[in-house]
Amino acid sequence: MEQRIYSYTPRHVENLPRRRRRRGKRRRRVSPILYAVVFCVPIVVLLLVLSTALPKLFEQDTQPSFIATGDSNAAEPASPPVEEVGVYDFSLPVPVSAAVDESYFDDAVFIGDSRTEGLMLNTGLSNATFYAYKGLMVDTVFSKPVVNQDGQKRSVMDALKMTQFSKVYIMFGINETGWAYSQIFQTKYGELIDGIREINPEAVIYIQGILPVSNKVSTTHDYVTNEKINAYNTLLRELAQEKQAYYVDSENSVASGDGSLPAEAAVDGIHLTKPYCETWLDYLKTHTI
Amino acid sequence: MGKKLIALLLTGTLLVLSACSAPADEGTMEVDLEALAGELLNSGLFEETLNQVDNGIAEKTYHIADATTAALYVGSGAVVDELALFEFEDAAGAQNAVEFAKDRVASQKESCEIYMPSEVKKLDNAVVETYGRYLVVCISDGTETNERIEKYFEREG
Repeated sequence: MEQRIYSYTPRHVENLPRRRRRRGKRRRRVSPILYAVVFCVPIVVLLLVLSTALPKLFEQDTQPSFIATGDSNAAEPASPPVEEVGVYDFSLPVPVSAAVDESYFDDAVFIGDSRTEGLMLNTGLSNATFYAYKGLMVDTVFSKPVVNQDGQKRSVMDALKMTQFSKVYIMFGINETGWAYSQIFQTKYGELIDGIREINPEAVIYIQGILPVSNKVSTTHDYVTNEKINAYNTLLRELAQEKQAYYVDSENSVASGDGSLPAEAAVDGIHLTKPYCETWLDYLKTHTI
Repeated sequence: MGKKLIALLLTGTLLVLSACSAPADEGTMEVDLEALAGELLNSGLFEETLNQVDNGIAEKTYHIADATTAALYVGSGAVVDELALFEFEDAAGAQNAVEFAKDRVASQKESCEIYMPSEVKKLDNAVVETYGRYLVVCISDGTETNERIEKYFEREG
């Protein structure tokens, strides 16, 4: 008897290309190396990006920390970026520190009068923001429209509201030496600090000591005298302690042995020449928090 | 008839040639601003030594952003003497910047009126002029400053 051998092929297979009908043929496995490449490369790239981006996110964090003394209502401080954790005495000037480079001032605003204007012009510190004008004073920072911003003239404080910054350097006082009451100078200066804090509570505020004038100016001018300047600087130190701002004794950057400005430092005994402006800036670079 | 025609042609040629010899377009003249600055700074125009300001301070001080070259020379602040030189792509650019330069002078004057009244006269006599694509701002006690600068541009341009 004839035997017939039937082979059955399911209909859906009939429509498949011939190669795929073969049974028992094993699928080619994907190389493990390929898996490693596909999954590991994005992870490596991500790690590289994070390793460069993360340090930058933290490097501007210079908000100092300190332990408040005496006042239990004071804000809880953190430890200062100094070698040891301790008490920061705001009545003392900022101590000498490792020199920073000019990029430190990228997010700094300098507020002041013609001497600060001279600092900008004579040091070329174009990366910082300067709101400094002849005759500007601690009270007219709120009212006098001296800043040309986006085509509009604004007061310094109004312009500050539109400015990104994390540190402020203030120097006022030479024009205010003619004021009848020293206390008003301190009060108005305090209002300026409060105003800055309102705009940016986290900003580091440096109160700069008023630079001295030459002996010639001090002995001949009606009210601009080194005696008055020294008295104002004492008030500023008190204010720094009260407001927990940082007093930078900029006056010591240019003063001679008797505390006056050397004659060669300023043609008129008040406004610093280029070399002395550079000396002043160098001092600021070595007295930071 | 022929002679009249020749005369007419000659006249026309002369007219065309005279038009061609007109002063070169001010917008295309090339001037060495550094040399101009040197000449002015050494001319005794300024009351104290002026130093060149670095790094874009000129543009920042004058709020002029589109200058191709800018140079600002200032003193200590004891006096208002100042020299600012700008070069632009074209004469229109220089012309547009005049307003900013005048603003700077006006702002200085406003401050000086109270604190340095003796310096106001210099600001009243400030030179703010364009020479083709160049803008010159000169605040000094010098006389005939404008003429001095004009002569330089005529000579060197």
